[in-house]
Amino acid sequence: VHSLLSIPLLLMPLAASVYFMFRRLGRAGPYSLLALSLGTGLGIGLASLLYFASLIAGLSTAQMPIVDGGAAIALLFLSRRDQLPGPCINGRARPAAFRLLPFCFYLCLAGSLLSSVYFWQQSPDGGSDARDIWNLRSRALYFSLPEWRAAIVFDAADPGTHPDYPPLVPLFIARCWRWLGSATTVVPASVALLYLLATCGVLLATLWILRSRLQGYLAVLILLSPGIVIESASQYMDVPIGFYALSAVSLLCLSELYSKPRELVILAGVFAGMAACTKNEGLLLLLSIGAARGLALLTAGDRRGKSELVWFGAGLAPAILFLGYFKSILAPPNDLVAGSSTSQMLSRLTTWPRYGTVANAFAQRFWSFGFWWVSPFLALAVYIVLTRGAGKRAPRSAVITSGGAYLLTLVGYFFVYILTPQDLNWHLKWSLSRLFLQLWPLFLLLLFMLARTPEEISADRSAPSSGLALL
Amino acid sequence: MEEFGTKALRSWDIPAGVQRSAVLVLISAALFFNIKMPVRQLFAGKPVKPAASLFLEGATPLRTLLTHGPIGYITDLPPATTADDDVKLLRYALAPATVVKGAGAPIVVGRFTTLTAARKFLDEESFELVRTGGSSFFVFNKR
Repeated sequence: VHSLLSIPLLLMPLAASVYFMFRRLGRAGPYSLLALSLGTGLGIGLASLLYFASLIAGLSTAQMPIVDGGAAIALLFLSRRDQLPGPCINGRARPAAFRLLPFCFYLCLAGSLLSSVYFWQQSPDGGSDARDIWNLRSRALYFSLPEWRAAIVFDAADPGTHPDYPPLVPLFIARCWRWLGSATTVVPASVALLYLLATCGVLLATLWILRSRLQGYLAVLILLSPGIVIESASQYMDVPIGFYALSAVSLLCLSELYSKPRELVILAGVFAGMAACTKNEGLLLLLSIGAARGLALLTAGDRRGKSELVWFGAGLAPAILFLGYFKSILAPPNDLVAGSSTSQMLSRLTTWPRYGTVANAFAQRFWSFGFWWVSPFLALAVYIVLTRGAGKRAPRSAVITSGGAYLLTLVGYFFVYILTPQDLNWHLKWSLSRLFLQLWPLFLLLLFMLARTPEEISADRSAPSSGLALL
Repeated sequence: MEEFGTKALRSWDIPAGVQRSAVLVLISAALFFNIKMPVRQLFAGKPVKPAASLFLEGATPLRTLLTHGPIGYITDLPPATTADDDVKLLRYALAPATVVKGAGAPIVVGRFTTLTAARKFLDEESFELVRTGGSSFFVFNKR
C-alpha cells in the first residue's frame, strides 16, 4: 500500500516534465514522441537534482514532496505560454518498396524489450560495473541516509569504484527506492530501459522532423544493435549519457527550424549539462557540443550566435550548481588528473608510440564495434556511397553542429588516452568500446541527416538517378 | 536557411534500383543481426543466473544482521583468485559497509562449502557462529 501511494509522488517531476514538453513542442506526429522522450530524460534528471538539493537542505522524506511539488508547479506555469511554433510535418507517401520498414522497426523494438527483460532476470543487479560503481552508490545512499555525504561517494577508499563520477542516475534510483521503501532491482532495470527507449524516441522524432519518417525508422533500426541493448541491460551509464548528448544536439539542430529558437537552445544546454552530471565524459561532450555549435553559427555568419551561446550557457546552470557542489565539496579528485603532474602529462604527450597505440585501438574498435558480422560503420559507409544522390538535406548548421560535436568528442577521447596515467592498453581495452557506444546515437543522427531518405530513393523511379550530391 | 549538400554533381550515376537494393539490404541486415539475440533468448527458456547473481541472492539477507563498519570476508572456496570479486559482491550486498578480505574485523562473513568447514574455522579461530545465511554463508562474531 505504501508503495502504491508513493508512486504518484515518485512520478511527479517526471510527469510534470513530460507535460511541459508536450505543451511546448505540441502533440502532432513526431512532436509527441519527441516530447515524451525528452520529457522522460528531463524528468529523471530534474528528480535527481531536486533529491540532491533536498539532501543538502536536510529535508525529511515527508518534506521532499514540497520541493517536488514546487518544481512541478513551476513547470506547469512555464507550460502555460504559447506553444513553440514548430515546422509543419507533411504526411509523406509510404513507398511500396519499404512498406515493411515500420514493421521491422517495431519487431526490433520488441526484441530489445524482450532481451532487456531476459538480462534483468539473469542478472537483476546489472553487470559488474553497475554493481561496483552505479548501483553500489544507489544502495549506499538508500541504506545510510543520515550519512549521505559519505554514501554518495561510496566507496571512497577504493578508486576502482570511481567515487568522483557524478551520481545523477544513482540519486534517482535511491530516490525511487526511498519512496517505494525497498531496494528492488526493478527500478534500475526500468530506468535503464527508459533511457534506451527515450534514445530511440529522440533519434526517430528528430530525423522524422528534419528528414523523413522512414529515415527515422531506419536509423533506430540500426541503433538497436545487440551492443546497445546489452549495455543498457547491464545498467551502465553509457546509454543515459548518450541520450543526453543526443538530446542536446537534436534540440540545437531542430532550433534551426524555429523562428524563436531561444527556448530550445536553453533546453539543449539543460540536456548537455545533464550529460555532464551523468558521467565524467559528459564534461567533454558538453564542451564539444558548445564548441561545435559556436563553429556552426560562426560559419553561417549568424548574428544571433553570441546570444545563442548565452542561452545555451543559461541552460547549463543547474548542472554547474550540481557539479560545483559535488566536485568541490564531496568528491575526491579524479584519478586521471590527480595521478599526474604537469611534467608527466607533457612526457606522455610527447611519447609518440602512444599515438600509434591509441590510433590502432580506435581503428580496431571501429572495425569490431557492435555485434554484427561486419562493422556497422563500414556497412553504413558503403550504404552512404551507394545511395548518394540529389535531394533535400538537413540545415547546414545542424550538420556542422552534430558532426562537430561527434568529431571533437572523438578527438577529446583520443587525447584522454594519450594523457592517461593508467596502463594504456588496459585502459583502452576496458573503456574504448563504451565511449564509441556513447556516441553511437549521435553518429547515427549525423549520418542519417546526410543520407538520402528511403522516400527520396523510392521516388527515383527513372534509372539512372537524377544526380549525385556533394556530401 | 542553407541546406547541406544540395549541389548536384553528375560525375557518375548510381541506378535507382541499386539504391533501393542498398536500403533493403541495410534493413535486412539490421533486422537479422538485431533480432538474432532476442529470438535465441526466447527459445532458450529461463535464463541461467551467473555465479555473481547467485552470490548476491545468498549474501543480501545477511545485511539485516550487520551494523555499519568494516566486515571481514573469508572463504574456503577455490580458486583463491575469485576472492577479490567476492569482496566486491559482498560490499555491494552489504553497502555501505566496508568489506575487507580476511578475518581482521569484529564481524566476519564466511563462505564455506559446508557447515562442518565453517565449524572447523570456529575451532581454529576465536569466533562464534551467529547466523547461517543461504546455503553457504555464515556470520561470525569475535568472541
